[in-house]
Amino acid sequence: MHIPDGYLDLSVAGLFYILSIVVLGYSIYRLRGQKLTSLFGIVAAAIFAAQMLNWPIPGGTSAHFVGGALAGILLGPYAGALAMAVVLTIQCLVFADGGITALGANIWNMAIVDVFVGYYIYKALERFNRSIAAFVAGWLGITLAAIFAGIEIGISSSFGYGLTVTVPVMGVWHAILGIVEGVITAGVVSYIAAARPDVFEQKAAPGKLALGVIAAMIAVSPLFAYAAELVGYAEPLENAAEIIGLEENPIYEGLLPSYTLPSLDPYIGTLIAGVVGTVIVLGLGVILARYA
Amino acid sequence: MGDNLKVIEAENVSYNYPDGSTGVRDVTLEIFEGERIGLVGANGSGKSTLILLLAGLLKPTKGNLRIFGKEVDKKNVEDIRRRIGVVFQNPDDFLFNPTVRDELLYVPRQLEWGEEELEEALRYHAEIFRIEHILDKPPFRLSGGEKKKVEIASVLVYRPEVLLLDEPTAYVDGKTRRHILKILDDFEGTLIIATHELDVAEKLADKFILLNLDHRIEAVGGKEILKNEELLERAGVI
Amino acid sequence: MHELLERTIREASSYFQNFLIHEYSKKSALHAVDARIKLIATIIFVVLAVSTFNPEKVLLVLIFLITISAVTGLSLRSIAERVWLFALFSFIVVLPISLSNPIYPVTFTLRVATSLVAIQMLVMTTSFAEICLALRSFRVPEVFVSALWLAYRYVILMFKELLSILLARESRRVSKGSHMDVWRKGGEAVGLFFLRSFEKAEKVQLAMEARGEALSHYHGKLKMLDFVYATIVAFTVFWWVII
Repeated sequence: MHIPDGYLDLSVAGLFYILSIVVLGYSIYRLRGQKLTSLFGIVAAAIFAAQMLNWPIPGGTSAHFVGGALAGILLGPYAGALAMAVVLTIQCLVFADGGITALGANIWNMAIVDVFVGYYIYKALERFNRSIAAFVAGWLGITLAAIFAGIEIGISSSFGYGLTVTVPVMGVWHAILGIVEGVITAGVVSYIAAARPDVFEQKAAPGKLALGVIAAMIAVSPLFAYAAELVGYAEPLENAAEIIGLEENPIYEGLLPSYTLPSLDPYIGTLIAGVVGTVIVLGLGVILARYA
Repeated sequence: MGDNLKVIEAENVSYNYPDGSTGVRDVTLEIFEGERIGLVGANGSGKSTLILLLAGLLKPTKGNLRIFGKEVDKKNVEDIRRRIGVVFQNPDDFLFNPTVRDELLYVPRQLEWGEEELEEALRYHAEIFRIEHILDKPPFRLSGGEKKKVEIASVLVYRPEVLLLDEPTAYVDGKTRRHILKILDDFEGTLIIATHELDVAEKLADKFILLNLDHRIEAVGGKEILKNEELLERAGVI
Repeated sequence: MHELLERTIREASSYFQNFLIHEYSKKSALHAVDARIKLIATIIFVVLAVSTFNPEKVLLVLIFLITISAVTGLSLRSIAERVWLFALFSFIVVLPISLSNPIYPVTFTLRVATSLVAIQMLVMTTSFAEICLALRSFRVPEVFVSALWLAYRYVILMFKELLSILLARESRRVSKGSHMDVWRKGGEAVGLFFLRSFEKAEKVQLAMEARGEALSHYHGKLKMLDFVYATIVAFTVFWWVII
């Protein structure tokens, strides 16, 4: 479910970076004073390892477990979100899994939506039946995360298909795959509940207000995304360049006066500019190699 | 030896781990029914890997492996699991049931033994292993020695034909050690025990396979191997 | 459980390779550039690539990146190997749109491919330790960066433990199960694995406290090399704007 670079408009990508930083920042603030670094570091490593498993599914292929809802259930939503964010950051900066401009959105989907929604659902349903609560948490968490990814991609004009395609495709596909996620989440939770019930006892109820705010943020974020899309453009830097007036006077004309010949095809102008630029970069690269 | 069935057969078997490290290299051996084999070598020589391969749990990355005459595949894998028992080095990897009783009955229940058969097997093995008093305890609360006994009991309870053990005396105190060795001595099937403790190997086995630090078989033979200091040094055991 | 283990083990090697890719790849001049500069450069390159649908601009960045990689000694073949799959996938996904806009699939794919190349240039030449230190110097909270570094160091070990637990479980599986059984029983094994991780986390926390937790601060001074690279980045931006 990792979104690569190029699928999202920068305004949408930027919005979700901001939202994610706010929630993660709050989570860090929330957990200050509790020496928990190793908890979400080691558990992040464990989640990473668990994500490496290839679960066989009917049809002959495999599905992978994401674990956001599980992280929320086992660690609480704040530590869970941080653990998942650690996993996603490593995947981006070590495996190039998921784009670097899309990291904010990927974190929003898999480290915040999946975790918090999973947590909310589990808490709401656990008094009825722990296993079913965990199943629904795992299933719905992943489905919603996928829907958000669908919204982010669909709303971005960078990606040619619109919401009416991306949301159903992502939603339905992951609603099906989500069954595996749900079953595994339920398996883990019921195992731990039976073997070490004390693990579930210690969770102090984190601030209701903050949870409410975050739930609201999640619910409203698609609207923010829509607004970001209206405000931003797919090509903000070019607009910036236009405003500064740079594009009006291509500088290469000055450097390569032969271009002022009016009969010359502008396309060739670009081509030659490209070649000249490349040669300059080549030269700079050689200098770089010398200094290394 | 010619009359006995060939239980496990390996031909130029190699195993490389996903992280690139070598498990074993070019191993060729035959194990016959009823043999008692000591797999000796220094730490890191590949003993654990070989145990997992011979048990049919890992598939060789090179070479051929036949267990009970056939290669391991979807059709015969459960049968192999039923007839081969593996005692892992770390009991914490192995024990997962809520109580010791459940641990012992885990495999027999899958085999759908009757209630009486289950009770009898439980009583019998609890007695031999002297674990009657901890039957209702959760495994993670046990001492190292108790865990190891429960682990071995959980495997012996379903009477496998072949028993493989990876460092069975690790994590274990002196008294438990003697007890375990006595029980293993009484085991009547094919026994393969991987250990770096030469005295344990000597006590339980009569054929020895020596692995060296290059992850290959250095030598195969009888008790004389254990006395051959030059050989053992070459293999990195001493 | 059989399939679960076999397939997982088979794919695991590609994960493990990625952990050490910066060591596997040939030493290039880029290996020596300061990680902070490389991180910023990567972000700039990607932003240049994805903020426009002008194919010339995107192609320009791509060509510049390939040039830099080639001249500094990075294996173009390795980069291509790691980029082609996603690029092709992206192309195929948006291909139907060529009916209404023939250039779109090409430009879209170029954007994706260029971003991937930029990220590979970072990932293949920078150790994660350097990246963590760079992040720290960019004021990313200590708690988060420490967790990043810790997680990175422990992934392979945790995976091996998980595998051991699954193998032990598999050795006691004597009846066939449905897909559901594999998921459920596998889930239980993963449950045991997470319990063990909590215990490990506690031990590691104590060890960290005993040794003092703080990550060392970034020591490096910027060298001439770094300024040259920064110049290359700046030039790319400049040329991108005027093209």
